[in-house]
Amino acid sequence: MPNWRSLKSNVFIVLVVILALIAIAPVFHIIIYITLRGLPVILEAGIEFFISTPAAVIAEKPGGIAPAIVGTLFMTTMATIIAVPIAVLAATFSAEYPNHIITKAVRATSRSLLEVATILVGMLVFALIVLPLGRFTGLAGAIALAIVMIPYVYTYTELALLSVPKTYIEAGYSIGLKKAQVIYLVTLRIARRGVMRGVTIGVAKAMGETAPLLFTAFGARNVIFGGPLEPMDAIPLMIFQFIQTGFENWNKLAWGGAFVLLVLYLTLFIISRRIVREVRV
Amino acid sequence: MKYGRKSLHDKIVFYSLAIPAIIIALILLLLLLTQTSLSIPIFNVQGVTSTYISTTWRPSYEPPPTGAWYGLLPAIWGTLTSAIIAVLLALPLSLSVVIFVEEILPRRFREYISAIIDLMAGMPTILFGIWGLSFLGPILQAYVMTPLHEYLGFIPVFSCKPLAPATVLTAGVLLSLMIFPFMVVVIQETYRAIPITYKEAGWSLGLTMYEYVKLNMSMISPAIVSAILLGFGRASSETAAVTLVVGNAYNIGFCILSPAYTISSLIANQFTESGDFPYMQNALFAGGLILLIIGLIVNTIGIIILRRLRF
Repeated sequence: MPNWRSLKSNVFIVLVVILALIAIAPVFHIIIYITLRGLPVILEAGIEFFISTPAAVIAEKPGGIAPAIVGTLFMTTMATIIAVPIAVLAATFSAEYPNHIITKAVRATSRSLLEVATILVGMLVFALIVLPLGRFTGLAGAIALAIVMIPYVYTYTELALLSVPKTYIEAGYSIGLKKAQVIYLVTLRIARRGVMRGVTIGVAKAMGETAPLLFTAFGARNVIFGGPLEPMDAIPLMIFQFIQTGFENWNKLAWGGAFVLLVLYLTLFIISRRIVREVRV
Repeated sequence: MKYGRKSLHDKIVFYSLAIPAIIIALILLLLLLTQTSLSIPIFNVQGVTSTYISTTWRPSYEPPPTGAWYGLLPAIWGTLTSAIIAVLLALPLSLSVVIFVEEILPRRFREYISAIIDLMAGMPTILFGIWGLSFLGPILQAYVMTPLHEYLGFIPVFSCKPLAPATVLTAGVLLSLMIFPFMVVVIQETYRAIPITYKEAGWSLGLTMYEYVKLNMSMISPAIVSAILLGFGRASSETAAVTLVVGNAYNIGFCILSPAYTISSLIANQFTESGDFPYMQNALFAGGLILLIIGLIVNTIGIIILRRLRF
């Protein structure tokens, strides 16, 4: 007599394994596919790809994506400079005063911001900065990215700070350190890897964002860097705009840009994993 | 004296930490205020209800209601349908990954799978988008959507001919790949929190793997509901990737093989030019407002359900 229970269970196991593999396979395909389409573009264009502006759509060579690379570096750096101090100080507040009403408000906000559509952040910055200034600017893009980055840095920092053993903090106070000294010399020191991890993940997130930049930085194809108060390009923005055109040259640039973005992302991802491993040791 | 000085110091620390915290707390409030106040003009000329339930999108230099008309229902519908498809597909995927990692895979390989899940969760969404546009969409059109229409076309959801690779279904499938890593994390964390004694009790009854997993999953069913809600929230708020694969046509209907708009793709595509038409930008802010409200409600419920679950 066949054992229906174990047969059912075996079918179930096979199904689970197949579905799990189906779920995990696409990420490898995405990485390989982007590499196969993007890397040849970069190899063909050579250094041009990184230092020149996109060529005309009918030109023989596609040119480069220097405005997008410079824009991404500039806006991500600016966003980090804006977001990290605010997020780290706010997380310190939450860890120091865990039951304060402000802590509850900032926790709820941060959780919501992690989930809110990032295009809404773009609309907010458009309404508050682009409209009054009357123009799209790289600075507005950076502020939008900072808002995207803040909840990641905040969440990881708060987690790291809360995991600092209370005995270390008490030891700090017992040798006569003041609150600010305890926070700076003890708590943040011990938690610094957690903070770094949050920053790395936040940077990876901000760097890959498209939607918040659409109506803030807007994009600029022909100027490599026009200053923070001019429209600015970014790699994801360039990919988004160029892949939707029918021009072969611009499609090539989009694929090359996608490969660059992929490499940047994988680098940050590996760094963030390294940081965790070192914490455990 | 000494006490007084210390408390002044504490005050300074308090305020210098409180101000950044307040700035963050204000962002959400600012977001709600801006979206609401910039939506009000369109509500004044078209009415709240008719803005959200009308299916007409008619930009014009003449202001509504006589010239232009901005009804958001097709975009809301597109957001809901693509997000529902995404969750329906992502749920079996994420449950399978959790079972695979927790119960089938040898322990030493677990870290690799978590690394891959993390890698997917943080991947820039535009990379999913560009892959979806040039690989996934055409593949689905040729091998999934066309057969579905030919053999199951009598079912309303498959009744329209898939004329292009970019459709609601394509967006749903791509979104499912983007959201399942988040659902895995939510389900897995709770699955691991099931007390070992409960699990051992299951085995000691002589349950098969299927019965054992079913029992465990029933214990953490609130976490699964929460994962569904959080996944739905993610799927409905995604912009760049969806805009590339959803087709961007102002359609409404039950057929998922046709192109459509979502709220976020409508905003992404039309916001920049919307300043030229009276009230159009306000209509898009009204779209943003409903997206914000859907997102906040879904996520809050999801988090509350998850928090209540304790072993």
